[in-house]
Parts: sequence; C-alpha cells; structure tokens
Amino acid sequence: MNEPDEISSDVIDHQLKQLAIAAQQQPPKSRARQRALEHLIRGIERSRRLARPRREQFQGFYEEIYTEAVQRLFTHICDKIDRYQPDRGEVLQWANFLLNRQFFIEASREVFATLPRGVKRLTLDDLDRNNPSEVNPQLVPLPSQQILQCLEEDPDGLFQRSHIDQHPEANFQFLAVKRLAGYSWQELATQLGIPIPTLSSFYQRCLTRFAPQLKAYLS
Amino acid sequence: MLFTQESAVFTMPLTLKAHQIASQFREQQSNPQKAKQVYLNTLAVMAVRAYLGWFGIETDLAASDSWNAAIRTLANTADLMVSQRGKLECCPVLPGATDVNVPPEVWQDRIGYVAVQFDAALSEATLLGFIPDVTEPQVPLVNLRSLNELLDSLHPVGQVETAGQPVRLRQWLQGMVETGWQTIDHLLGEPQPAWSFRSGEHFSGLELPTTRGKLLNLESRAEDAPLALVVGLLPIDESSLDIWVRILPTGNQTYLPPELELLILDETGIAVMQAQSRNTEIIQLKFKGMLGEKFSIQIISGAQSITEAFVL
Repeated sequence: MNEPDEISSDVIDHQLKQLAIAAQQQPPKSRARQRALEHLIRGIERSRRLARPRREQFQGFYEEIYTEAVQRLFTHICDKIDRYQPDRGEVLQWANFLLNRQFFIEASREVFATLPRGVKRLTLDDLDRNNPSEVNPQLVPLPSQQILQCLEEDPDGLFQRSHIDQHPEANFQFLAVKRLAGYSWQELATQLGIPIPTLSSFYQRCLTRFAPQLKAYLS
Repeated sequence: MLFTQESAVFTMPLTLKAHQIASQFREQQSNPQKAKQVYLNTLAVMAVRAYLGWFGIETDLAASDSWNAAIRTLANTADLMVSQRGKLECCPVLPGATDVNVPPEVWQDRIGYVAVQFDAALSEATLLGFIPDVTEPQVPLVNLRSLNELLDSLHPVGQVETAGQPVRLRQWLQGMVETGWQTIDHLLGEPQPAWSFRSGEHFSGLELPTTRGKLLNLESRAEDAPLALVVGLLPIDESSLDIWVRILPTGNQTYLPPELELLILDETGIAVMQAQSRNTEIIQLKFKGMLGEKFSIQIISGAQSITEAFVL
C-alpha cells in the first residue's frame, strides 16, 4: 500500500474538504454520497493525522479505547457529514475535535464496562495454542457437544430421513456428524461418490430447515 | 485524485467488542480448529458490519447464520445479513495468504463474498475486495474486485449497470462509433430538423457537433416508449472537447418521467453534475473534458439506475 507521506498536509486537507463537500451535495443515502464518504474515510485513515488524545491516561487500555473511539468517529462522520462546516475549518480539525471531546470519552466508558468481564484479545498464536474448553471450563457440556448429541439422538428420525435423492447414506445426520468431527467436503465427496456442490447445497438447505430444532436443543 | 489512485482496500482496527463476541462464540466449540474458525469468522463479520454501517447499509446479525449457534457449529459460515438484500459472506484471510477460502456450504444463497485479511495480532482487519459469486473453494486474491464495487452491489437502487469497456468518444470524431450508438435521425426514427443545443451555443453549419444516441429501456416505463440518451461532442482544441449529454423522450411522448435524474460522475464515481426532471421535455448537461479523462453518465428513474462509462 502506498503511504501518502510525500504529499503535503495542505493538499490532503484540501482533498478531504472537497470530498466532504461532495458528500454534502449528494442526497443522504444516495450511492454518490456513499462514494464520497468512502473516499473521505479512507483519506482520513491514510492521512495518519488523526489525533491521539489523552495519551498519558488509561495506561494499558489506551489502544482499546482509541480503536473504539475511531470507529465511533467514522460512524459519526458518515452519518452526520452535513454538520461539517467547510468555512469553519479543515475536516481533520473537525474530526479531531470530535474524537477528543466526544468519542474518546464515550469509548472509554464502553471499554471499562467490557473489561471487568475478563475479555482478552486473542492473537492467531493464541488460537493455535489454546484449547477453548480449557479456557472456559464452566461451559459444560459445550453447545457443540449438545448439538452432536441432538444429531445422534435424532428424536423424530428427521435427520436420518432427509437424504440426497437415491442416496439414503448421504443423509443430514451423517453429513452433520462428519462435518462436526472435522471431515472435509472432499473426503465426504470421495467416500459417498457424490460431487461436493451436490452435498454442500443439500447440507445448506437442511441447516436452514433444521436450525430451529437444533437451536431449541441448546440450553 | 490522491486517495483514489491507491488500491481500494480498507484497513480498520478490530474493537474489543468484536473480540469479546468472538471469544464468546469460540468457547462454545470443543474442537480447537473449529474454535479458531469461529473466532476469525466472527471478527470478519464484525469488521464488515462496521464498515457497511458507516455508509448507512443496515445489517441484521440476528438473521445471520453466523450468529446462530447451531448453524455456525455445523457450517463454516461468516455470513452477514444485509437488510432487504441477503447474506453477504465475510471470508477471513490469514496474513500472507494469496487465496481466500470459500467453504462449499456457503456457495449458494449469498449476495457476495468479501475478503477480510487479518494481521497476526488480530488487531486490525483489511477489507481486500469483493466477488459476487464463487464456485471454487479457493479464490486467488488477485481475482477480487475493488471494494468500491461492494457498496455498488449493495446500494438499494436496482442497478442495471452496463458491463464492458467504456465508450471511446475521441474515436467518434473519426467516425468510429460503437454499436448501439446511432445517429439522431436513425435513433428518433425521422429526420430531425436541426439538432440545436438549447444552451445559447451557435454553430456555423460546418461545425455541427458529432452526436450519437441510444435508447434506454427503463423497467418502470416498460409500457411507454423508451427514452433517448444523446451525447454530443465539439472539439475545442487538440486536447479538449465540449460534451453535451441529453435525455429526451421518444415516440409521441412529450415529457420525461418526473424525478428522472441525470448525473455526470467523475472517474472515481463521485457525481460532479446533476439534473432532475419535473415537467420537463428534455434534460441537458454540458461540460468540458480533456483528452484521456474518464467519466460516467448515470440515469436514475425510480428504483432503477443505468450507468454508461466513457473515455475521451
């Protein structure tokens, strides 16, 4: 990705202002306004000139709060672009004012409300290392285990009776249990001698049909 | 314009809230591989939802398979229900990957697929692009369409985009005109007395602009005679042209349908000129263009929109 670092702040300010005005000139919800806003948001993001207010505060949680604040800022800019007054300043001045005075504060409330619940960001490494059920032992049996149980019990015989034409062995129960156990579509296609798209579209239709029964089984 | 020269991807931070929901969904799974898949799918859906939300596109998590504990357990799905449109699949892409994986169970019943790439820390998501349909489990990232087209495809206006190459206007001056663009006499079925542009411009007999037109079939007006879109060109010098764009009724109709809009969009798709009919016989916009410039003409009537792309 190219960074616009060789371009002067003035040029960026001018372009952002033009985009904001272009958005304001289009009717709300029109595609033309969306396009202008899309360019505007992307331009603000790439300018790397959004303020980072109150850096000395919120040690350890700063990035969490900042991330949330920027999302709220972008939502506001797109929704309330008509409130921007081009004759009163640059887009980034407006954005940074809002970020500092309104969204950073709102975001800190949101983050501090979430943190006590022990939320931790996982990385890809965490996902590869940790076994989820070790992380949360109180969730037993796990919903995935309850669903397996429901499939195996098949109380009305529905899951087994629903099968691909002339292939009773290719029934929903079989496919769902195998998929839950981690078998790939390719493996199932080879084993059953039925092409993947036939299997997967049948499976998808069954899921839509049986979702209410399966969901009711989850406590 | 500066920002549009860059590739149209968008990088956004992933909020704590998104991670919180992803953790909650992950902990419902016993298989570590599946748990990872659910976590990433959830983050991808949250990122796309935030992005669409900025542009006023409403989504409904409760109506999405990815938010249904039973379905997301049994299917590798990262769908996001876009209100009044359908399910948009938000496919996670790992750092450094060159393909996006699209599981067979989501090949159907989707309005499109967005590729969402993560960094290793899962601190941010980059929306890479979009593809309207898929029939292979892996799609090379280079085959994705620009993210700009995602919003085009989701915009509530029923789009009837013309596919293919932009119309090359410069060639019209040499008499090379694309099929479908007819002379005005031919188009309107009878010789037109004088093709006068009513903008106060005067042409000496020899300098009549090059004009060609085509018929527009609007669904909302299927009963009526089609409208004509006419483009006129007059070279000013070696590198610039005056361009007229007109919309007029054909057959025995006198007036344009009310609230028909004519827009001129620049290369980035931003409307630079706009006109709307009321009790109008004709709409006309005139502007100047430079050699090599691109623009589009968009005609919006009711729920339908027609776009024609041009290059000078």
